[in-house]
Amino acid sequence: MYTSIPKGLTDFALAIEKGTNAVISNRYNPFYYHGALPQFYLWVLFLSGLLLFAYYIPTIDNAYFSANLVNAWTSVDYITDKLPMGAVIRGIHRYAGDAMVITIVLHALRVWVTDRYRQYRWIQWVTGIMLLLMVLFVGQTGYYLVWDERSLVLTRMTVSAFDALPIIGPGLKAWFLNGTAITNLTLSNFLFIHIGLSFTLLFGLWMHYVRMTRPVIAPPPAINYMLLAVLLLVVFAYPITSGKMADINSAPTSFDIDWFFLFPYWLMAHVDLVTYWVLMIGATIGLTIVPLPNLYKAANPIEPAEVVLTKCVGCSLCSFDCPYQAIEMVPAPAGSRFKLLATVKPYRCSACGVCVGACAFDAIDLPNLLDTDVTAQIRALAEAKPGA
Amino acid sequence: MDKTIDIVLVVVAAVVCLAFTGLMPWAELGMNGAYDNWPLWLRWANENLFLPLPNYNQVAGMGASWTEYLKKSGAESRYGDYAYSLVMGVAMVAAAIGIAAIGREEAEEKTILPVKK
Repeated sequence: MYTSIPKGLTDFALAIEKGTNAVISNRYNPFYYHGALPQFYLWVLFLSGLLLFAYYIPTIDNAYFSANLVNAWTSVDYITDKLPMGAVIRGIHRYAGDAMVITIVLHALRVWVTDRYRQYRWIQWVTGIMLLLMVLFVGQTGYYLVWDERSLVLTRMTVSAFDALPIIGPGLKAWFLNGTAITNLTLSNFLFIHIGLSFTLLFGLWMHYVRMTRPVIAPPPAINYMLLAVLLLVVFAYPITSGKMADINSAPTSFDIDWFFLFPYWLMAHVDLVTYWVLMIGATIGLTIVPLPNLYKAANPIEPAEVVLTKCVGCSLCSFDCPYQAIEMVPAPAGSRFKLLATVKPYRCSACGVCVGACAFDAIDLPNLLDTDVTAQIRALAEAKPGA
Repeated sequence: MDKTIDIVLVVVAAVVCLAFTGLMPWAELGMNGAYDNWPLWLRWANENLFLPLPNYNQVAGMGASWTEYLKKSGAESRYGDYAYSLVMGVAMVAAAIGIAAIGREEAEEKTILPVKK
């Protein structure tokens, strides 16, 4: 099954999963909830972001409060130093973003290593890549919002990168800055992108799940506790900080890099902008087309399930149970005693056999794996393992 | 087996609750053990109820070292908040272990062969 993946990798991944099962049982094995882990962190980000949003002021020089300068940087400073638990909530927001990127990458790696990214799953892979890009961009806008010297450098680097793009460059630059220069409107735009694109992730997730009947979208409570615990401990271990307030008249050139979100800026600083865009666009296209069936041919091509027309009673059980929405119930032909008839969409079928198990009338079969043979194999295994 | 796990969980929960109770005021005080900085209710309890409360002066040094660590790491104020974060994190790890210990026994699956018509 895993012929397109280096066998050592697959064996290694499965060995780790097996070892984890031995320690904490399969019910709490995080490898079986790898897709739900980033989503848990998404909820944490939404909640902590809502609290931060209540105190955040998206301006760069809002000095109308007479004595004190009130702007994005000072509001973040207020949240960190004055607000009860403000620094912790800010830290949770920051590190939940990092954790989300880590868990997305681990999710993608696990999916790739176990060969679950192509054929009937290509939509999940492609939408997953899009979601990863969106998460990276949302995270980067979070770095702009703090409005310290790093924010200023990142903003200027982004503008330069957009400027280098032919045709669409000027438009992107104007959209990004919300004008022609860095102003209060720019910070408002950053906040709008940061929050607006975050909610757009929900639409992306819907597309990610659209072909899955029962996606695992929430880890069990024990894993949730552990995920949150990791955040809280990291917040203590690495307190959140800000740099100096951005001065629009200064030209800072260096900054601390967060490798989870800011690696494109590291690349931008080390190659010319044309090379940068070629590499970024090339990497995106390369990741997206990974599931192309012509790139990886299975050793054992999938034989879709087949409905035995004379036995199907149109009960819909197979359709309900199919994990990939590959079975559609259509009106039964004229003259049939039943109202509906099951039909298989071959390009969505994984030949997993769930429908065969669901059917109480032996009306659906896998062409190269007959129901009677499978039952006989299970019975033999059960008898060979007393107590099972 | 059931009883053993129950007892272990009760002990773990009790230790966590006690640790939490002890560490919360410590965190509230910004990890300062000075008696005058104790919350009023805790001072009253110490003087009138003769409860076996921990001597916070003894842990003040530990608090100072943690505070020093936080300062070096870039935190500028509200060190007690970070202590809350640490304690809540530890408590959640204990909770996760407890829940997993209970659920582990229920995770065993049995194979039931379907009988088809």
